[in-house]
Amino acid sequence: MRRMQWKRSGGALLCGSALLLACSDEESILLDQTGQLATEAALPQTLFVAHEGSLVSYDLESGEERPGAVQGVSTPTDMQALADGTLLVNLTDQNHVLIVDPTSMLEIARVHTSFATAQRPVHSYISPERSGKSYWLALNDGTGGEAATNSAAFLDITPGSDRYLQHVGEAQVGIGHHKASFSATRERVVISNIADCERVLGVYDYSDIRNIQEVATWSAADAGWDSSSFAKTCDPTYQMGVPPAPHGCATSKLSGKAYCNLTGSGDLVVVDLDADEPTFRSVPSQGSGGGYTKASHDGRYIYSLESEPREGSGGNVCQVGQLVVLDASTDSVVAQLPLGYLGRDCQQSLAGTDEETTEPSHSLISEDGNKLFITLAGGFEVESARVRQHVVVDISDPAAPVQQPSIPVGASTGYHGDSLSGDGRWLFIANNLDGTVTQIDAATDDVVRTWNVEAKPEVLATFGTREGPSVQTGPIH
Amino acid sequence: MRRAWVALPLALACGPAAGLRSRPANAELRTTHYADNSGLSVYTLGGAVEQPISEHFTATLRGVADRIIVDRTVVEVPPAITANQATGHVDQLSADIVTSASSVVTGGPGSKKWRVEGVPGVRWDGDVAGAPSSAAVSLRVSSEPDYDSLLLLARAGTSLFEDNTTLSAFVGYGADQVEPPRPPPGRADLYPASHWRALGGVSLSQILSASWLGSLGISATHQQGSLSNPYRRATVRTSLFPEILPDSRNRFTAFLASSVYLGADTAIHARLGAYLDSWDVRSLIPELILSKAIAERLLLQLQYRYYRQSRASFYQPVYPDLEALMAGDLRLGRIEEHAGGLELEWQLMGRRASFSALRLLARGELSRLRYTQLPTEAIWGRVLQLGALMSY
Repeated sequence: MRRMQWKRSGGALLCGSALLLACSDEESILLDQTGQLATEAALPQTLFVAHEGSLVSYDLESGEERPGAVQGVSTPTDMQALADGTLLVNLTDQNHVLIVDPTSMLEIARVHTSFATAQRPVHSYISPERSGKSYWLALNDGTGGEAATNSAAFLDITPGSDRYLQHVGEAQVGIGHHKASFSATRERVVISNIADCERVLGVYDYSDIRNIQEVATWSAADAGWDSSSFAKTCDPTYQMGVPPAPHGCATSKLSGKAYCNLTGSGDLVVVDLDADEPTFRSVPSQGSGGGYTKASHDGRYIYSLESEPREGSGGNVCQVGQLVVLDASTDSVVAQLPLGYLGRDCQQSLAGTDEETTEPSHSLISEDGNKLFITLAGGFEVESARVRQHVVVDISDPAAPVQQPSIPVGASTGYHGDSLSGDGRWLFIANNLDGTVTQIDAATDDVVRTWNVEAKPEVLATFGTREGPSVQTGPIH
Repeated sequence: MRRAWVALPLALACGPAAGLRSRPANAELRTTHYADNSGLSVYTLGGAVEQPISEHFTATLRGVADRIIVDRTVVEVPPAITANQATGHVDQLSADIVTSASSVVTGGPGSKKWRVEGVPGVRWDGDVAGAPSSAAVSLRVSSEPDYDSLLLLARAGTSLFEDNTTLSAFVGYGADQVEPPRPPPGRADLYPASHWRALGGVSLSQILSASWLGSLGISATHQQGSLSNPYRRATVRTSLFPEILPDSRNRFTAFLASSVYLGADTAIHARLGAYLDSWDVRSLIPELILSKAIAERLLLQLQYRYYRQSRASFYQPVYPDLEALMAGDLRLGRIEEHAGGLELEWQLMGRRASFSALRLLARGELSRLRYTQLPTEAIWGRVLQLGALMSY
């Protein structure tokens, strides 16, 4: 019989002698050397909810909670299910990626996201499969504006790999909050740095995962920040000027280029990251802020969210931002759609309400490609901010998008998770203040169920053996 | 003067009846507060009445109400699992921190709730072949919002050899049903769940000399049915799963006790309790009480109790993988406890067990309990109790 020993590391992290390596912050923690799922049985479509504190699962058909609640889950961010259902979620404040078997709901491993001093993994991406390899990319946002605390960490998620679920590569990136988008054809990725003036964007070649190369960078000066005005003075502290502050990238498989939103100016940067020497070119929009960017299924259009114009700042009453549509075949903006909080015809002023700082923060495209579901968030670091709506845009004619009535959901503050099921039927929204998850029929926009979950649901994923994983961030199909 | 205020209503209420009876009726009221640093607190109000209804029969009624407040989320054990550990330590009107007879609570969704218990009964006292004897039957009915329990208990005793020897025995049968507001994940089909238990035991007291009394006893309980607590969770790696316990349990207890009068109105009571069960839990409970009568009407008692328990065969604080049996009850692990208490009784009126007597008591207890398989802090518990016992 194996004896278990107890040790506390950080919060409620429990460690055992059965762990492959000791419980230190510097090392991977593996419970299963094989890296294979403990159970091979078919799994009905299941909703996974990572709360502040625990990761819990629910059977979609029966509506019942499943046995097994993973504990020691702190600041879960960007949970995704792999093709076989294995769940990975960044635990930002613990500097780990938590890996869980979706069938047994047992922890497989907690993997540290830095070989060195990088900290705070926030956003995650699943790389397209290239040369038979695929990776989980965890972007360490760092602390205190120190460059050494930022990095891009790669975990091997190639099934059958000798180093499956291990941290296999890492690259130094710029400073601040990061986003990324992979190349559609080769082992390259563009990574943005929200609080950096020298390295606003960087392109990395990870074909040799142990020796990741930075092949190009793009600075604020390259983007036209020439200190001629406040708007053109790069200052990440926002005291003397405004940084480019990129916050969202997507890759078009049609053009082979990546498109990144500079929230400081509202420009969309076209990155030819497949070129031997990558190039960067700005395409202006009439808004700014926000930044989340997504490509249409066919790669023809790029949808980028902006928080301005808005009510009280050049926008209409009830407006919370705009949707910018860029045609990737011409690299030109073809539509800029005002987004109303309650829908296209919303005339209800948000001024003075707890929803006045609402802005678009994330989006998902329906399986048929005809709808864009936009997750709203309360203003950044505005504690009293609330959102209670989910925006829907008809993009069946991408160049002429039409906003639909918003879907009422539970109350949230700040960023809150969403997930589109693998079969495309269900959209789930985490309501982090209500302790609920709203389940929406993606075809009709009807709320079909409100799940009572634990307090503070943060991020979501789904998986079913038949339905596959919920829509992933990163792959370019 | 103050005593007169108390005596007056007592005299009015009890005087006429006392004139018709050869023995007094008794009434008892106790309130207890238990709190510990694990987030559990229990307020208990207990009352008991023994009312003679004829020359040989006495009606008895005992009631307990618990206000249970649990600040943690996953806890505890239903009464049926730990009750009836006849280790000789159970004060039936008190919160008992060893057996948790009263402080046993269920947590989860309902972390604040009431538990009420009523025990009506009847007792016969008389002679059997010239030996003073008694027989009693009682029905314990306990109810919580999610837990109902019944226990039918019959007791009998007789004093032999000119009251030098007392022999007593009991048998009982109980049934319990639990229906949590939210069943544990994956186990909804098990609820409402039930189990039953049968119990019995004998004890013997012997006066060994003018200043020495010895006693011993044994008891056994068989439990059958759903013994898993719907609120408790076993830890597997870092995940919590509903506990799965065997569906039967045989429990055995024994005690050996001795009371010695030391002179100078002082006595010492020593007791050794032992427990074992079919889950491989074994415990020893030595206890020492020093009693000192002060100024005729005051009785001071100092108590120390030690408790040591081995773990159930299937218990692990953290399971490396899913197993057929997984316990979530810390109290199935190794336990060590030290408890000390101080009790003061004041015979305010009359004499003990005589008509128109009133006795007050105050008790404090401090305990330090450690789950020795866990790295957690020791649990410091304190019990405060106030009581009034009246004969009329």
